[in-house]
Parts: sequence; structure tokens; C-alpha cells
Amino acid sequence: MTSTSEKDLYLLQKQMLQEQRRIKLRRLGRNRVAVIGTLIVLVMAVIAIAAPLIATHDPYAFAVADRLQPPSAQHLFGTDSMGQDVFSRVIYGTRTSMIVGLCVSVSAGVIGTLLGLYASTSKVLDHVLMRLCDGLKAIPSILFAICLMTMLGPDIKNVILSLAITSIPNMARIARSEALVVREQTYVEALRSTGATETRILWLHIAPNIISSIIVQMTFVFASSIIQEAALSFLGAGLPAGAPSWGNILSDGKNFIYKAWWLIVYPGIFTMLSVLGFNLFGDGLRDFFDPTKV
Amino acid sequence: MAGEESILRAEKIYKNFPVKTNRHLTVRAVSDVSLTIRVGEIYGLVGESGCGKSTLGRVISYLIPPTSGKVWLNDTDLSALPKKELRRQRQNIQMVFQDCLASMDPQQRVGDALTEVLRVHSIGDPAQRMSAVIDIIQQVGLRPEHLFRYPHEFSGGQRQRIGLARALLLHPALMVCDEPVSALDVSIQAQILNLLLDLQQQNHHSYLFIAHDISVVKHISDRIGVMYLGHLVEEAETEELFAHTAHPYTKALLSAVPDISKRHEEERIVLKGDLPSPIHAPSGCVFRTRCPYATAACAEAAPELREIAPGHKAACHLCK
Amino acid sequence: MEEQVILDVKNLSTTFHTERGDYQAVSGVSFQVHRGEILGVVGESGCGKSVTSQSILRLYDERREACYSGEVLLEGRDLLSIPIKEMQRLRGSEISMIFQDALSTLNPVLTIGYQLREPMRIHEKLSRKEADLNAVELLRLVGIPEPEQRMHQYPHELSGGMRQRVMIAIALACRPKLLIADEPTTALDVTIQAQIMALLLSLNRQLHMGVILITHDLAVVAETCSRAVVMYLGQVVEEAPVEELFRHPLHPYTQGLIASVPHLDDPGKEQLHVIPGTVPFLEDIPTGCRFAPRCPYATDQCRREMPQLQEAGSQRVRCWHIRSEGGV
Repeated sequence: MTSTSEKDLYLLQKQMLQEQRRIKLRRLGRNRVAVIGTLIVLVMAVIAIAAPLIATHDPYAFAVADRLQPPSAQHLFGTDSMGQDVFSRVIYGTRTSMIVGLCVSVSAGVIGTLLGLYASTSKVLDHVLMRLCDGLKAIPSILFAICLMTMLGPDIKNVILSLAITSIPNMARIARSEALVVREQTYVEALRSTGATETRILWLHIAPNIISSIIVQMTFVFASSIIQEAALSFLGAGLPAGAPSWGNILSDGKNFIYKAWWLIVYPGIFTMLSVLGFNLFGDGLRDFFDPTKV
Repeated sequence: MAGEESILRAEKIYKNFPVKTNRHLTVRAVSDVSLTIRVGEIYGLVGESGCGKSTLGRVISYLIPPTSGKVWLNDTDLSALPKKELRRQRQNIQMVFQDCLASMDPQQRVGDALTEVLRVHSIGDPAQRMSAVIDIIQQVGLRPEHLFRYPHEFSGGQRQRIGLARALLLHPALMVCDEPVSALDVSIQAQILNLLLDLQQQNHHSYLFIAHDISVVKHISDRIGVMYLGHLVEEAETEELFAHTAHPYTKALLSAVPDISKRHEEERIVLKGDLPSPIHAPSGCVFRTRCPYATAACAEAAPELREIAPGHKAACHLCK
Repeated sequence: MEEQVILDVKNLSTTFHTERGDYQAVSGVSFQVHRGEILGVVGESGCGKSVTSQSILRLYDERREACYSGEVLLEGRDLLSIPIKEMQRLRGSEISMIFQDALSTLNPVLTIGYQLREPMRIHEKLSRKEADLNAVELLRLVGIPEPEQRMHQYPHELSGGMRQRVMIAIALACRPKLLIADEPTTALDVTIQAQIMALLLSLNRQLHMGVILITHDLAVVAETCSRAVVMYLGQVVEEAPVEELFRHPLHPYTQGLIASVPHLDDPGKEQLHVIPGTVPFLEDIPTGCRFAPRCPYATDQCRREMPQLQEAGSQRVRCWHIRSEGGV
């Protein structure tokens, strides 16, 4: 091979990469459900990032005179029992939910993958790690999170920590079972026969092959931690009272449910939409990642 | 063509697998197999499914260690090597698998998979690796642009070419081909067989060619070993094996092969019954339960693989 | 040997609807099956041989998956135009099918006996006792030792060869007029394959039914069939009595196919004949003769126009060169 053709080769490679990317994007575009999910996720992300720009009021500002106002031009989603603007609080609540979701899913994803990958390497390690996970899973996760929260005290960091701890076992199990499946494939054997080291196989061949299922699982963890954070806050074991969070707004609104429907409906819709969005997004990602599907 | 010098010697290989549901039982996949592969020779290993030929191939390439027995590559005893040294020795034995799609990382482009083989052994710099890969891919009849595709984008025959390319990259002394053509259509199978022969003539490697199709094995091999239920039952030069077939199993195997020029009405040895389970292998000669010539003596002692003519060994009490 | 025609396939085409658009997996296939004969259908993967057999049974969902055209006459009745209910009644009673992979075709949680009785109880409304007696008889017919005990066993307890025998017994349960065997021995070892093929031959003689044997293995066809159809890319390219087909293959594809199989009595180590290139995908079927891009004799006419199946003695061939090489 001469050097001129090496340049051609480079161009060809670029062309092919572009083509493959185009095919993938087109496939994603044809999957209508996934597109809806992606849009919801994007909208949520934008709201979370641009919360100060979108919110019309200070989410903490009291205006006792304006308490329990129905939705109007001034207060889009009405006001709560202390006259705080529900719209602004829901918007800031989105930010809280997204932060919690992101931190929990990323940390659970990373730690779970590490545990799972290592569990797949040796039988002893597998037994130790998996029995630990079983132990954690034996306690219902929301109860476990409540216990942790009462010990640690209400704070967003503690919410993230306790939700991450409860999500890790599932993540590790999925990573482990995926890794065990990949380990049995002929290509791992083929790599071994070329002389590749076990570490190389683990990190360069097994990890990339399980990462897609991990990412998909992370979106589901994201969705469930949104719900769990709302549930914790609703039960008073989450964020400190008064902090803008969908759970807090709901918890506050339950006392006025007959007088002020807007306190329940708007945070409820946001919670539902974001959970639905992340689940659809996850399903779409799963199809997207499968390289054999064309 | 094939010298007397051996490239690989396997001595009294046994390989047992534990039965998962019962600790006291073992599957005896390979029992007491010794074989020698000479420099520049194609050794065909033939047998039906479950006869242990693939296990033997994996033991010989030291992907799985034998339960007992030794494998000598040139003059190094693979079983005595430390892990690191063994990995280095892998350059000399490469494998080609039956299902080439399964033997490639689905997330990796073909080019990356091929250069990785060189990177693993720290051979050359990136540019040298690339040009070596481009060379090899053309040798197996593919084009350089194929390097940027994923394995699943290829047809069966092309995948097998990629598998060959990967094995050839390290210029191994011995290639272990495990059923390399049995998943392919006949017209593609012919292409790959021709390619294998061409490559062998160019590079003079030795091959261990494992297959269940005896006509394919006959076509390609210099010497053939026939396996049945974990045992090597007959071994001879190809010509000799077909001219003076000794073992009753080999005879039955040959007679069962359908052929275009035969009609079914012709005399044929149809073996009765099925392959016994390798967990409860018959006593004495393993083939006696299906052998048309079995006598009481066959149940008592296992026949040894012994020379019945120069270079022709068979394991049967009845072979003189 | 003019026997009664059981199945007459006329110009059958099957079109699949996929995400990428429609494509025709079988185009204009015609052949006949006579009572008491074994017709071989040979071709490489992707030639449409399995699709043909499944189209005869209308196994593809007509609302979503596929659409059929042409005629499939079973003793004069067009299977493609009868209601699907009627078709379901015919499957397993008049026509039955055996598949390559017996383990996945048998239900793992039901006993052999149950699965054998089922077709008889559905189609012939037999009582359990009668069906039981028949089932044991069937197992004996297909050469299974100790049939009474086998009735209570589950598929995984049997070996591959035994399972295939059970599949054949199930297929024969209602004495079908036509048996379609789709690669019945591909998953089996040669010694077992020899047993199963011998069984199929003897059953065919005893029960005098028509058999379509679908396979990729030319040698199996040579040994068992009386006539054979060679398919390439969804079309029949050659049809001939087996002796003729292997003595004077007329179509270049058949010739290539026969030459590329290694034989036991070959000298060995010689280059095998190779058909250049690979089977094209159904999405880009060549215009003109479909084999033209891989054919050593292709001319401009071949690349331009599609040849029709022509009679050449007892054979039928789809090739433009037949007249010029007619003397064969």
C-alpha cells in the first residue's frame, strides 16, 4: 500500500463514519416514541438550566396576602398557602429533580458498573459483592432511604447519597449479568487466543459491550429517582421544608386539595411527564445502541 | 512436502468437565489423545458432534488447560509456562472459529479489531500496524475499505476471511481452524477452502483443521485423525486412510457420507443407535455399542491406538 | 411413471413488507409434486427455498408480513384463495411439515405422547385412548425403540436423531398427502443423517405420499430424490430428474454448484471450482438473468433480458444459452 492510497483511505473512513451516523440518526428519527421521550428530556434539561430566566418570581418569596390564589396572568400556576408562586417553585423544583436524577443515575451507574465488572472476573468476588447487594435489596428501597435520611438529615446531598445507595445493587446486578453473558461470547475466547490480557479484555471489550445497557438502565434510574425524591420530600424525609421541590409542593398542597387543585395538579403533571419522558428516552436509546439493528 | 520435524506434540491429553448438577460425575470430553503435527502439514481432525474434537483444539491452542497431559509447541512445554510467557507464545498458535460473527467484538470495527491483535503484542507503530493490516486484508481477498465496517455488515464468507486475516496477522506457526467452513454455503465454502490452501502454500504454516464433514477434511488434509467419544480411533495419511480404512467407525462414517454419484439403494453401513453419553462411556472399546463387529472381548479391554501399517494407527482389537 | 399430481405450484410469488420497503423473496416459482415421489428443492441460503415451502402452507401473516400471488393447487384446490380457517384445517392433516431444528420445534414442557396425540385429536377428533394407540404405532413406524415408554418422556430427554424421528411421527400423525421436509438433517451428524434419510425413503414408499425435501446439500438430493428443482435468488433455474441433473447439469449455476462440492473420491488438495462473487441481496436483484453477474458465460443479452424456463428434453432450464448449447 502506498501513501497516496492511505489518504484515500482516510477520506473513505470519514465518509463511512458519516454514513453510519446518518443511518443511526435516521433510525432514531423514525422511532416516534423515542423522539417524544427525547424532546421531553431536552425540555426538562432546558428548564432546569434556565430556571432563573424562566421563573417569574422568587421561589422563596412569601406574599401572605396573595395566598392560595388560583392561576392567573400574574401567577401562572397560582400561589400556595404562603403566597409563594407555584410556577416558579415548579420550575426550580425541576432543577432539583434533574440534579438529583443526574447525580443518582451517574453515581449508581459508575459504581454499579465497576462492581458488576469485577464481580464477573472471579467467583469469590462475585459471591461477596452479590451477597452484599442481596442484603441491600432485602430492605424495601424507600424505607431504606427514609432510614438513611433520618440519620443524615434533610439535605439535597443526603437525598442523592441515599438514593444512590439504594440504586447501586440493581445496577451492579445488571452490569454483572451482562458482563457474564459477554464473557461467554466466542469473541472473548478469540481475543484470549490472540494473547490479549484479562485486564484488556475487561476494559476494552467487555465494558464497551455492556455500557449501552448500563446507559439505558441509567435513564430508568433517573426516572425512578425523580419519583423517589418527590416521595421522600412528600413524606418530609427529603429536601428541607420550604425548598422548591415537586414533592414539597405536593406535600404542602395535600392539605388544601379541595380548595386549591393547582397545588397538586401542576407538580403532578411535571413529575409524570418527566418520568414518562425518561422512560421513553431509555427505550429509544436501547434500540439506538444495538449496532446489529438496521 | 511435510517434513518429519514436528511443530506441535500433544501427549496423553485428558480433559474432563464437571457435571453441574452432580459433583461425582464428569464429562470425559477428551481421553488419552496423543498427536503430532508436523511442520507445514495440514492435519485434519474429523468426528461427529460431541466427539471432543473442538475441546481438543482448544486444549492444543491452550485456551483451556488439559486435565492431564502435555502440549509441546516446538520444544516448549506449554503447561509449564507462566501466564505471561504463555500469552507471548500465543503468537505461534492462532485460532479460526466456526462462527466468525460471534468471534468478533460487535462494537469494534474490523480494522480496529485487526490492529488490536498487533497492539496486544506491541508489534510496530500505528502506521506499520495499519499497513500490515491492509496487506493481510488484501491477501484474504477483501478490500481496504472493508476495514471501517462492523462485523455484522459482512456476509458469512467475508467474515470467515476476516477471521483468517486476524489469525494470519501474527504469522503463527500453527493455525487451529475449528469448523471454519461448516456454516457456509457450498459455493462460498469452496472459496474459503481454496483460500486456505493458497495461504498455506504461500506461508507454509501448519494447520489443525477440525471439521465434521469428512469430504472437506479429505480435500484439504495431509493426515487425518478420526475421533469418537473423546478417543482418537484412527490416524493415517489421507491416501492411506481412504485406501485401507481400518477402524469400523471410520468405515461407517465414510459410508454414511452422501455423495452425488451414489444412490441410496447402494450398500451402506447404517450405524444403529446414537452416540453414547460421554458421562457414561461404555466399558472397553467406546465404539462397541454401535459396532457391527463387536465381540465379547471388546467390552473387556479398551483397545490401544497402535500402528497397523507404517504411519497408520487404529484403536481396534479386530485390526491386524 | 405418470402418477397423479398432488401439488401443483403455478407461478408462486411471495412479497415481504419490511421497513425498507417490499421485496420479492420468491418470484414466479412453478413445480409439481406427484404422489409417491420425493421432489428435492436445492439452493444456497437466501435462494427462497424455505420461503417457498412456508408459502405453500401460508405460514406468513398476510395482513402484515407478506403477500402471495400465483396458485398453489393441492389436488386441484387453490390453497392461496381458500379462507385461512380452512387452511388451518389442512395444515397437519393434508399437508404437514418437518423443520430443521427439532428441539425448538417441539414444546419443551409437554410430553412426546401429548404432542403426538394433539394433531389427531384436533383433526380426526379421536378419543384419548384411540389417539394413544395410534401414537405408539407411529413411534414404532419411525423406528423408535420402546415406544410406550417414550410417550411419557420430554423432548430434552431424547437425542437429536430421536427428536427428528418424533417430529416425523407428528407430521405423519394424520397421514398427510404431502410432507414438506425443510432441511430435516442439517443439524444432525452424518451417521444419524443416514438413518433419517433411510427412514424418509422407506416411509415414502410405504405411505405413498408426496414429499418435498428442501435442502442445501446436493448429495442428499442425489441420493434420495427422483426429481429436483434448483433455485437461485427466488427463481427456479433448473428442474430435472435427478440422474439427468447430476449427469448433465444445464444451468451454469447448477454446474458450478455441483463442481464446488469436494468429493471423497477426488484426488484432493486441488483447487475446487468456485462460483465467483456472492449471492446478491434481494434489494438489488440484477436486471436480466439473475445469475448473470456470477456467470462465466454471461453475454449482453443475459445482462439485459430475463430468460424464461425452457424445456430441454426432460429438463427445464432458465438460461439463454440452452439453445446454442442445446446438443448436450
